[in-house]
Amino acid sequence: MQQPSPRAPPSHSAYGSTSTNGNSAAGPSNGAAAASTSRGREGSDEHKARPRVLFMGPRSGGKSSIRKVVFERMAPNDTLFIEKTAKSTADDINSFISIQMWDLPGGQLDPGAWNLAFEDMDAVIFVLDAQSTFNDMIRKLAVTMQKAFDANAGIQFEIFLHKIDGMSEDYRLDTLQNLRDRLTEELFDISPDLESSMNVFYHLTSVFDTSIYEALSKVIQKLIPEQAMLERLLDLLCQQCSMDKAFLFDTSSKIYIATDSSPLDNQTYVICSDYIDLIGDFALLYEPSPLGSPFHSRSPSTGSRSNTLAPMSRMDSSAVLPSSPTAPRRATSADAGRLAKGARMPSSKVKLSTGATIAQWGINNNLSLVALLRPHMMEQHAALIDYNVSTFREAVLAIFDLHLGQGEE
Amino acid sequence: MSSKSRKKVLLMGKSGSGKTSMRSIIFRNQLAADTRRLGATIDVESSQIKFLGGLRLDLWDCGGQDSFMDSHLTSQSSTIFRSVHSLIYIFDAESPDLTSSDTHYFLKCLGALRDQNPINSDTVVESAGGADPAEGEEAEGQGPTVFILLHKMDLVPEAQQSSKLAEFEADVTKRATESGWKGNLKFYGTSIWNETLYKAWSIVIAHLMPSLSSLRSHLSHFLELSSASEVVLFERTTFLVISSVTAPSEAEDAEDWDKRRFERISTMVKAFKLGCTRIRSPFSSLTLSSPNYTAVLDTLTPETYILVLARNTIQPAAIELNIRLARPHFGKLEAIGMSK
Ligand SMILES: Nc1nc2c(ncn2[C@@H]2O[C@H](COP(=O)(O)OP(=O)(O)OP(=O)(O)O)[C@@H](O)[C@H]2O)c(=O)[nH]1
Ligand SMILES: Nc1nc2c(ncn2[C@@H]2O[C@H](COP(=O)(O)OP(=O)(O)OP(=O)(O)O)[C@@H](O)[C@H]2O)c(=O)[nH]1
Ligand SMILES: [Mg+2]
Ligand SMILES: [Mg+2]
Repeated sequence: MQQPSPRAPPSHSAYGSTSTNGNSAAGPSNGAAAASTSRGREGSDEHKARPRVLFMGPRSGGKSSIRKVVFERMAPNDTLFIEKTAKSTADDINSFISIQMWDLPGGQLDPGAWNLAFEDMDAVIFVLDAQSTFNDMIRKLAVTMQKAFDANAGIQFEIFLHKIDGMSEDYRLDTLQNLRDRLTEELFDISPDLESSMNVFYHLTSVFDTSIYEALSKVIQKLIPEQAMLERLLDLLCQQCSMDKAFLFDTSSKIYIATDSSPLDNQTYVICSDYIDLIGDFALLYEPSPLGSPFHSRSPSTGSRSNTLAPMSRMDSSAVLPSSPTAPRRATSADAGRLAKGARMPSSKVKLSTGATIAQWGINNNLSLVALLRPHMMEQHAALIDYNVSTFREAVLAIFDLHLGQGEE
Repeated sequence: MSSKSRKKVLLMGKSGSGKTSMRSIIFRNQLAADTRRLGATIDVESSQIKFLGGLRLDLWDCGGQDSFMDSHLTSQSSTIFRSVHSLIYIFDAESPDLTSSDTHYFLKCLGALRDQNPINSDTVVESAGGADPAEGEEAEGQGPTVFILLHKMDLVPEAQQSSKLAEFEADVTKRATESGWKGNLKFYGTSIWNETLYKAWSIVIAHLMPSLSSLRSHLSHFLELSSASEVVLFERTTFLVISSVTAPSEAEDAEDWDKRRFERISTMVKAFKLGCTRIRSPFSSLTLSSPNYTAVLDTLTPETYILVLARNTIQPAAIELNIRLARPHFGKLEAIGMSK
């Protein structure tokens, strides 16, 4: 078996500089970071990486439902009662990654009418109802895509073929293929090289299962310049701690902003996201005050950032180390200072009868690391794993230029 | 097997009110969404459920279509209503006939229950409220207990739920009394879509279980020994709450804890357990540290799980150890030990 070993924490400044100055960054993140600078974002300090996303599509396609289910934790069944969107609304996804999402009224395919411009957007999500006949929409969609592309050649097009619940697997794929062929044709008709130079991605989604979270995760990962570096850190962590899979979750939305590079199967994502739900809901039972809980952002309100300092102010010197007493003393005492700092972040684990463990660690108030560990690793190497995780935590916070327990304002 | 540990429970109510749905969610690990595919129950489906402490539940799910109801009440009457321990009667909160034909059938069932259990027709004395699953044991040996579930409450707008239940309770109680029923009736609002189902069934099960008070004192002792803030005991397969103890020292803080926390834990953990089973890695235990608390949920006896919640100055590993040490002791207790 592979022995995980502690590693030196990356120096704060080395990682911190990458996010402020993408061009000079060494390492695998170069591509992504450069993309962000090319959009001219690196100048503004606070919102340097604040991707903006536009939701568009025909009436009743499900745009508002997606927003509410994913970001406001509305029960999927309750989306039935959502009213038609009458005006454009911006959602500030004020969690770790701050994203601005614009929900346009249905049928509206010109953001200009709402004082929005494609130039300012990083991605456009077109939501199409798979259960309706969307054929006559496709031409309009192609025209809009051309407009957007002319205004902003770097823009990312994400087509959500939505409401696929209740459709058979074959039928889903047929419908998607049909949509793809038609749209490609239309774009080709407008201009032959338009289609080939655009970034178009397709997703099958539904608010009734995890597909919508997975699709949004993929969309958002492309917009986070730090993503490649996070992936590398996760790869390293997986290797050191014998993890089969590790996700960095935005805790309140269950979107994962990064995962290690090993192949992802849907079941693993489902169980990990169910687990995030379980512990988030559980914590609320005994910590009713939103101040104490890192999961308070689950409640249907977005303006929660002001609370993020609260857990820090509750620190007391008697806080315990997260490592179990059966773990080797050496590792814990050697680095007590650092670990104690991490000890205030919540953590949890669920043991499975196969011996494997799903474990979760709070990274800050908005981010959680969730990992699937190989059988018995957690019992045998608890201290080392905790050590590596706290190093990982520091590296992540350094990447985003944040400090433990602080908001990013 | 003594007749005392064998208890007959009737599940009645009109067709489509949700009897089979409840039974399959609580006892057969079905998902709420999958109950949409259930067909109507023909005649009676009876199932035997082995519960902890040697308790054997004879659950009779009685088909609710009018023709079946009529035969339950006439030709089958003695088979069905004789030596019943509890009747669980389910009303569909959205039924248009709630106060007419639905109640009408219910009153007939009460009549049959009384006729078939004549010796026990005196009042079943029970304190109202029923928030504590440990109560109700004194009803042992007395007449059948009647639980009334106003079900599918999810379809009633939230603001109207409690007034609807209160009105319904007053109306049915009045008519039952007028019809000559002297026993107590216990009312709960339930839905398969939230924790209310677990709340009601935890109370039903606690009512069926002998010697819960002795179990409770053992739990109190464990709570003290491990300096915990709260301990909760769950039945393994149904994940219903069997008993719980909160430390007196936490009385003040406990005011802020979620009042529905036990049934919510049942619901949440059971759903997660099903997810684990689906990926062929059954759930074993959960350990959690939050800013103020440490919680461990682990197997206590082969038929129970225990949740131990403590202030986070206590190490999770210490709780895990305490649970391990307590296992042999709890395994020997008659109340929750293995049924022979
Ligand atoms: N079956 C199914 N229905 C969905 C799904 N997502 C949304 N819906 C339903 O689609 C309907 C319309 O949803 P909205 O979110 O209001 O659609 P919209 O795109 O915001 O509509 P406008 O604001 O009018 O443009 C609602 O009745 C939702 O319940 C899904 O994934 N599956
Ligand atoms: N909305 C809602 N639907 C429910 C609830 N409980 C059950 N149902 C639905 O009600 C329908 C009928 O449920 P059953 O359990 O088959 O009804 P039953 O009482 O066994 O009916 P019979 O066997 O004919 O007597 C199913 O489609 C369930 O999904 C609930 O709490 N809320
Ligand atoms: Mg809308
Ligand atoms: Mg039935």
